[in-house]
Amino acid sequence: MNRRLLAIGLVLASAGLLLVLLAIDLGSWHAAMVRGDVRFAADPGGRYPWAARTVLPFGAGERVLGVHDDVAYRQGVRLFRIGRPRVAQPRDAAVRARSLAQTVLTHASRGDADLPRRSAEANLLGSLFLAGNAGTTDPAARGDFLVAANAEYAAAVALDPENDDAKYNLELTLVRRRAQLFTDRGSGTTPGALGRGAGLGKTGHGY
Amino acid sequence: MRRPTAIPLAGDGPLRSTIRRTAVIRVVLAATLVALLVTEVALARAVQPRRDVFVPNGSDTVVVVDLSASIPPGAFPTIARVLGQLTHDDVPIGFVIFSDTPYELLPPGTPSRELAPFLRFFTPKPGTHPKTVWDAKFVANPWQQDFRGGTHISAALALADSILRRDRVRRGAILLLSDLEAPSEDVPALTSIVNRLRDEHRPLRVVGLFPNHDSLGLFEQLLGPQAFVNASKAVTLDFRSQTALSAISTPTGMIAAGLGLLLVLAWNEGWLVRLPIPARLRAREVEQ
Repeated sequence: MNRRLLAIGLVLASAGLLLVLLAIDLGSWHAAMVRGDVRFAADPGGRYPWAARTVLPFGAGERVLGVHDDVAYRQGVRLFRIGRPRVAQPRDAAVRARSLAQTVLTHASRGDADLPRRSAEANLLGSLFLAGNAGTTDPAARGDFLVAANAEYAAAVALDPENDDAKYNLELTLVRRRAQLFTDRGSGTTPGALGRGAGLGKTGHGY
Repeated sequence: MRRPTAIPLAGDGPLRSTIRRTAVIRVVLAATLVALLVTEVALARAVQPRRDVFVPNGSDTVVVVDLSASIPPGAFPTIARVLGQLTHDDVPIGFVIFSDTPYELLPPGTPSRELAPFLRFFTPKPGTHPKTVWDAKFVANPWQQDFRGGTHISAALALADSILRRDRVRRGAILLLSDLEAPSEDVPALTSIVNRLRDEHRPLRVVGLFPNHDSLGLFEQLLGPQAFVNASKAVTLDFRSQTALSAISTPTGMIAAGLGLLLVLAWNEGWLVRLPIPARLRAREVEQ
């Protein structure tokens, strides 16, 4: 009987210890998120700021708290920022950050249950493709980037119709696509075959 | 040798729970031992060196070779060795070469011995004895004049993926031989295609042809270090003595199962061994 009680006590004590460790991990994650957001705001290009020191293995605290998608979104924004999307010819480190941002945001935008945040992720992805469009002189690649950006912005608007950034970007890519189509049509045709506008007809024989 | 007969007990009441516990432990340990032994054998059978170096076992692999202008002739022997190994292994393959644009030379499912005619383009001219790969002379290949230009890796991988889907290859894989010099404008498309391959569970392995540090870093970030087959360090001109390029990875699962087996055996011997009854006591019992 005493042995049975001892065994039950041991099991309960182990469970209690496990719960205490889990509580410590949850506290660590909460602190890491709050502290990380402050650090990121102060130094966006600095070291990864959302690292939590946990005790339990296999990311148990992260799973229980369900912060994986929050962390992925933050990591996507951070890498997007490090990728310097406004720079047309980025350095290697920025190119790698953009590539990683693309991977992180692609996965995050597929599985995120929070629709407005998913829309924001698609919007950032579109902007990465738009940055690619600005960084190449190859007309075919420019076209591909615009199409990809357009698709992401359209998805972002569909996910959250109140996402004004995505709406603005969608309009921008549509205008650029029209302009590019016009440019391609102009440069890809033979002289004199552009249309019937003034000064565009074939040279006549006249008198 | 005859085992000594057990001493009969007048009443086993106080020992009943101990007997039951011992029996349970014995059964559990025996089951664990059998399970570990089966695991060990299964893992040992799965370890197949050489064949698994370049292409996953049982897969139909599209070999994608970079022939852009940035590939020096010094990298040709590495290409030859990989193609030679595949020819020797006789596995189903597809073959794509690329520079600015990719094109399909052999469709998936082709026996890899069909690569043999291509080997001569990447093997030093017969009769020459260069000291290093960089001094070697090669026969003219059909791509050196007009084909060789920039490195458009994303287009090559996209073509390899599309032909695997076109031919409905179920266990398709891709082996890329390249210097990995992807221009920055190709990186978004490259990232997209690599993510797609990952989503499709399509293995992509890479043989680096003297990649620089930055290019290697980008691909390690995209694919992880396990995707790389280390061939660049093994460049020599003696093909007969260098058929295998890379060692297999350490069979950690097998080692772990072996250690587990030893541990459970030791536990079994330590806890469940028969109680030693000294000969003097046994003799007294027999007399009584």
